[in-house]
Amino acid sequence: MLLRKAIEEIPGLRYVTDQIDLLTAAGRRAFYALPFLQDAESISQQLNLLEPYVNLVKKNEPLFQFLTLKLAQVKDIKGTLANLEANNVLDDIELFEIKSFAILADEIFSRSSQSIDEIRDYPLLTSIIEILDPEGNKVPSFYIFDLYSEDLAAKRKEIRLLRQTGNEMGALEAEIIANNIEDEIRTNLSQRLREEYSKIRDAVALITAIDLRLSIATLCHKLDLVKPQPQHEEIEIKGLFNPLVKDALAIKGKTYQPIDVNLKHGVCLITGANMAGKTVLLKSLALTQALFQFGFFVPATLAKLTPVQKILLSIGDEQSELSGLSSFAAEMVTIDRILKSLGKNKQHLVLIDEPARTTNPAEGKALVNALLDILQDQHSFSMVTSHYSGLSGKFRRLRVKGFRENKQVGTLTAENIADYLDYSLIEDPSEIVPEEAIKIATLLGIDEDLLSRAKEYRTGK
Amino acid sequence: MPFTGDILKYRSLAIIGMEKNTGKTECLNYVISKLKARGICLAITSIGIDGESTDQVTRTSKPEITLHKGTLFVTSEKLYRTKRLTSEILDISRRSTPLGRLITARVIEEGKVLIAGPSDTTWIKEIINTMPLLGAQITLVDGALSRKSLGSPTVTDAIILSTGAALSANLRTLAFQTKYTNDLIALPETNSQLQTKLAEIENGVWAVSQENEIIDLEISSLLNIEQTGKNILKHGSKLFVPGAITDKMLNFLKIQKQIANTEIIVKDFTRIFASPECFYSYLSRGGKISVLKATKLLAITVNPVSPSGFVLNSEETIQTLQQMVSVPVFDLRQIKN
Repeated sequence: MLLRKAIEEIPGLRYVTDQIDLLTAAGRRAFYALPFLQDAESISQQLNLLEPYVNLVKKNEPLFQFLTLKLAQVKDIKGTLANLEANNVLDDIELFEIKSFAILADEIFSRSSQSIDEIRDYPLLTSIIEILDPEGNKVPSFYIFDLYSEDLAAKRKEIRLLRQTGNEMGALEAEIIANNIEDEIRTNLSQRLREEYSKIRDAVALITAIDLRLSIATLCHKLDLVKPQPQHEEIEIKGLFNPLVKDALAIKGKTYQPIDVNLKHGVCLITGANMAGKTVLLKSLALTQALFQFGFFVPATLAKLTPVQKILLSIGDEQSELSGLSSFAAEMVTIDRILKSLGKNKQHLVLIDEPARTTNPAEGKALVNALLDILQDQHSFSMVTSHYSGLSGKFRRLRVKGFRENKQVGTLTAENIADYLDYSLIEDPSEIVPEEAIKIATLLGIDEDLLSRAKEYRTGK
Repeated sequence: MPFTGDILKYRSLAIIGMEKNTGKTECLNYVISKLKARGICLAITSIGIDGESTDQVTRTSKPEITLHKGTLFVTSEKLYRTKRLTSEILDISRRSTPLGRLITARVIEEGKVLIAGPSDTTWIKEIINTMPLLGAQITLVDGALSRKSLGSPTVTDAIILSTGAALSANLRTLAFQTKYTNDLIALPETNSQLQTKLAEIENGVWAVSQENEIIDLEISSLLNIEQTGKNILKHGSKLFVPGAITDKMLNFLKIQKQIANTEIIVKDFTRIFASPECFYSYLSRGGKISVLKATKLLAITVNPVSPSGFVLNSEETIQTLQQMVSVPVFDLRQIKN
């Protein structure tokens, strides 16, 4: 899976990637084609390559300023490179492109090779610059210089004199000869550059990598992400947050309550009141896992993560109306797809939000029990949220702490909800879920008659 | 050597032809040679490819320009490849025009080149701002034929207008139309406080109070002014219209009782699409028009030869025009001889 595709699937990933500011066209192409890495080793490698850039950004080093400035000047030479590879004769515009790229790339490499490991063994471009800079003044400008050929220089002088004496015909003839000499020189220059092709290609690739990492590093710094540690057994996160929700709260002057969570193979059931952040928790986990496997830092203060083969989601965002299915049917189709992806040697991250919530509670509970049974036996990490009591399997249970006490009736609003809730997770072995629906409705100031009657029904009076 | 002294006061100059074959390229070449004689480093570009493509249709001579050593120019990569001079590439734009990216180059050995610059005014402004960094003392902009918006004063500091028999073989008509353009260019500038306030507004119709407060009249344009049913003059009779000014609008305003106090502020003179008759009639009833930013008209050049072969009397043409406008009028061919 490529990042381009994952952006469509993982909630909140677009919010993160939309904030990237890539400086080169090649960098932009490479970014959306980043692969979903599945082994700890390659993820480690990418993270280690990224780290020095994050440090540059964090400390706002002069080198960071320099790279930002210089990368913004890099132009896309993809077409020219293809022409060179195909052994075509390059024209002045293409030769200029290679020359100005080589001078700029050389400047970038030589200035940063000491600070960044990845650039230590950079391709030496001096031979290329020399071919295109016979005057040796390292200025990124180009024409078929007089210095390339004495004949050409003489012809040009002749043309000038003929023009001055008003001999247009003579000048025209001399011009044709000069043009032929120029063409020979272009052929020769192109051949010499063809021999250096792999160096130019490597330089383009390295510049692209620098742009990619510097931009990702800037993003990691901006969103306050942390370097995750790949491991092989568990998923263990401290201070997990959701960048989208965190920023939305910050705009309202509120703070996000980060939470700690860990997952082992099998099922972890999450219960808790409405609005207690269960869905956000699942989305944050999905986002964290995705960022980790695309080689980014993650939204937490500490993260020990295990690579998975797939991130399988059922978080109720399916557009059931469009497919003509009821929300229950759409959900079942999604869960079916998840189950088909499971298998003996598969290790996935499975995140399911309130399965079977839109059907009758009796059957719904049975379906969830069955689903949890299946997931419990898998070598995958599964987290399922539910409001159902009586889910009886042997699996781990966590509960969102939920409402703080001593709150006044009718004072709860969408604006101040965060002040009322403690989002942290606690172990809760009980099969009985906390009953807080009426309490929340009361705090929201919902119709008193409705609520008192509901209470009567609930207590059976 | 007429008007080259004046040119040096400006950072950028557009040469605009009122019609094809009114001698715009000739004027450009004239200005270039005069500036060269004074040792001025100049940059040259044009706006759009409009003129170029129509020239190919009508098979008239291409607007090829002779450039001298050291001159900077900005043209598209497609046309750069057809150049007939030796020049050093200094930059290639990231953005692209319909004729490819724009090449900035400096002439090494003089010769001819076709110029086709950017197609939008923001880009032209950027180029005008960049050229001094490369050493240019003035930037010339070849305004595309029959598309006067390019010479919009928001782009260059000054203008030279080229007119001639190609516009009309009738001297009276030629003179009248040229005078009209001259009068549009000469419209007064509004006060500087309003300039900053109104610069960013791109559409709608706005009332401007005596205290320079601006009020959105909430009508999209004045094209169907009679049908809006709104009293557009209820907030006073000073209006800002960023869009086009038409006959209909002027005819409506001139019969209102507030006409003597009515003032229309337009972005620049190219937004006025009204006929000369309506324009002058509106003014004679006491109405006023001002522009956000005025531009300086330096001179009018006349080409008495029309492409169909008809030739006006050069001296008579100049005299007739000169009586109607205050800027100097020249026939460049007469000066050269």
